[in-house]
Amino acid sequence: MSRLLTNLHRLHTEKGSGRLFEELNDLFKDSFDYVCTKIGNSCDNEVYLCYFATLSLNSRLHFAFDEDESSLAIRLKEYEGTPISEGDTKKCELALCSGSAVLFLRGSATGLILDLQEVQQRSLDSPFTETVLQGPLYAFNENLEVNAALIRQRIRTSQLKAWETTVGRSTNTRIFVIYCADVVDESCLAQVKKLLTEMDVEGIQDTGELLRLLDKKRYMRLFPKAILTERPDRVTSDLLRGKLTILVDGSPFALVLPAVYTDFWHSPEDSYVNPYVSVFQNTLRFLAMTVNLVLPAFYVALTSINVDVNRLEISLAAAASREGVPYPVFIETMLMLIMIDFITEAGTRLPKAISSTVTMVGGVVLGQAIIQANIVSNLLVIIVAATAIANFIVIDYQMGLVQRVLKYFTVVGAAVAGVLGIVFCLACLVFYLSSLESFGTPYLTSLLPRKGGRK
Amino acid sequence: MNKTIPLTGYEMFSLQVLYVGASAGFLYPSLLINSTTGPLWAPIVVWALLAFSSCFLYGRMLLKLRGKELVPIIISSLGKPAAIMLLLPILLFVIAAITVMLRSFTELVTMTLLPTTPLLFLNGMIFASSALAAAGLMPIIRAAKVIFLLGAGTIISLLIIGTSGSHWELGGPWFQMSADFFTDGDFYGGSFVWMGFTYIAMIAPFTIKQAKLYQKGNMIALVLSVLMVGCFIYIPVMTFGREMSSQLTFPFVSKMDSIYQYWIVLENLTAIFMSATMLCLLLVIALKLKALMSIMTGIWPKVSINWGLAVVTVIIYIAAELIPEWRDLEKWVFNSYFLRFYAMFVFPGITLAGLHFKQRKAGGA
Repeated sequence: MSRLLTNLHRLHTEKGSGRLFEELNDLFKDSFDYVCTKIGNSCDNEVYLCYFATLSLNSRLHFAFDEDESSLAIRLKEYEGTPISEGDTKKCELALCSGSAVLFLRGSATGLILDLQEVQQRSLDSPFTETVLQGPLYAFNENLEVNAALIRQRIRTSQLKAWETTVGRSTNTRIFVIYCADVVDESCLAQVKKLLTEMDVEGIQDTGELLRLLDKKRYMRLFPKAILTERPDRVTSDLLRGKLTILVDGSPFALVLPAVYTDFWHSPEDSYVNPYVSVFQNTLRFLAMTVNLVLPAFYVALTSINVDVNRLEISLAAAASREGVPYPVFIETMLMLIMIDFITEAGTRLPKAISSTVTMVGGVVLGQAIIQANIVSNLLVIIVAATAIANFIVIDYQMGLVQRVLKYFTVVGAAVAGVLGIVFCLACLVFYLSSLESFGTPYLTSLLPRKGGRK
Repeated sequence: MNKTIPLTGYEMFSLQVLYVGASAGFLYPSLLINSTTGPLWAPIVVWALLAFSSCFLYGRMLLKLRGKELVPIIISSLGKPAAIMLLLPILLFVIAAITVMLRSFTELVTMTLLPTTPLLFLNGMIFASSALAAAGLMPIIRAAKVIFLLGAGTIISLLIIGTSGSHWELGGPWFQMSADFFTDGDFYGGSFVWMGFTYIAMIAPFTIKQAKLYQKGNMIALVLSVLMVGCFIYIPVMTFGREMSSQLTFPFVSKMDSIYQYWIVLENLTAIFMSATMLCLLLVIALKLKALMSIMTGIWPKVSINWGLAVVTVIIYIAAELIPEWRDLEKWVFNSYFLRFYAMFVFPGITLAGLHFKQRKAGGA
């Protein structure tokens, strides 16, 4: 306590005519949880302690009743916490908003900042958006320090570096950029640091929003340029491959970048299982992607424009299944695709207890009824169901959403020019992907060469 | 972003194979079959040798550039007026080549797959290629690697499937040599298939290492090209016979129409062949547009690449629209062979001689 008092007196002696007390009271005057209390006198000067009752853990400060019999006053007896620092009004304002307490003498221009921050957080839990089949079962939570610690606990080397910055004029959100110095792509790191330093926004709420802000090319935002993950094992394996990770305070998702197209099709489990099984699973995923992209489109093309491409038996079967359906194939297909996306969206947004009922009603009852009402053919119901299942095979949630959008694009292509239209749409997609870059790395980087990492 | 990095031999190989895939499947077989009464492999071999010598010339020319851009070097060596005189025929030739390639493909699509779809709409596919060309060389190369797997892979599979129902005896004569093709216009008209490397060379700068890779990649591609071209010609001949094949406008497409295998789910492989060809074609048009812009911005450095590309694309689109009918296309293919010869031999020859002369002069001084 003696060192604290010495510091306090130094404030008094050096800057006796300051107005920190008035300025802080003015700044926080309408805040019910702002506490500014006089805790005693020191050398004929009043000592004040300010903090937010909702943010600070005041059990770290121990007070005692004054031993002076003539008055019943309290005084600061003990402080448990990290080393104190000194700050002016602006710094004190920020410190108070972050949960620290400020100790100062009335009339001083600066105050002593005591770290009393009490962070509200969940305990470590399993990932919500990525199912873990094999591997560590814990996931990131909303606490920046905890998330950084989870990474540090998995990579125990001095090469693991963390660069800190804050973004947002109002939110002052802390951001960590973590990387392995010996393998990181220096140009990518410099680019990310520059973008974060120059970022001028009111505030950010999540890593997804940060990714949108980092991506400057407005017309090139269809595909995700970085991986959002809750899994520390995925982050650490990518850090060792030369990528870098951005952690945002208050978000349980880490941003891993640069990311190329094939990264979104790999699961961390791929490295934990038999390589043959891994290749098989990757093949399944790519097949699912193809089915999701082109199956409804092929239905449109082969039943309306390129009827002669199919075997006669299949064409006849398709025609028979459409007997009595009043709408053109394109309208019929769009109707069903939108319907299945309604069901998917409802299943995602609703509470779990209700979503299963909605899926059942939507999938089975509606499907059966729509066929019996001759609104769509039963072949289309099979195709749409297969497409929906194929979409759920996509590992990455962001990429899954993009796939859902793209199937409409190929269906329109098929309705206009049949098989040729589908292929044209795919060519356009390849051209678009080949023009994309994720923070300096081409999005269509080949699978074969090593994408950075330890040699 | 999208900075140019050295091209690999594989990338040059895939571009060259894509060029053959885009150009050899529809118009060329009919031209070559009609060019001779002797063995069909003879004109193919002659063209392969000519392509080899042209590729060799271009390779030597690129080595002389030592990593510098082609057009500025020509301008500095020969002077701007002479350089423009030398490059102008190439510019015209590339514009015409893209126009003919686009229109002939869309005409074929109208004849086989989409008879009611207007050409006005089908010709619009050039805008996709133009967008890719505007993105830069590296996106073209990256797209080429994917399209190579999809497009060229499908075409090669179709060639293998196409061998079913073929009879060797119909492919003859095999050894009764005849040089009659040298006097036939169809032989020269088919020269467009053998100049993929010309466009790749135009997208220089290449480093010395790349220039060597250019030769290597193109030589390997040339071998595969000969095999592919041989298949495109011999498969319909060995199915329908020489006489009937010579009457068909698109012998290979007709062959695709006739394939029936119980294990193939699809009955009409023409649609698959056309789709694969379109993939290759879109990429090749993008490459040609890029080569065109490299020349234009080399001559007129103030020309904005994106605006220049937009103008050229619209010109080609309108020109493709204005070609009245298929016969006019064929006439253009026959009559423009001198431009192709110029691009294959005269242009690299003069440039090589000019650069050699300048380097000797500089060495002497």
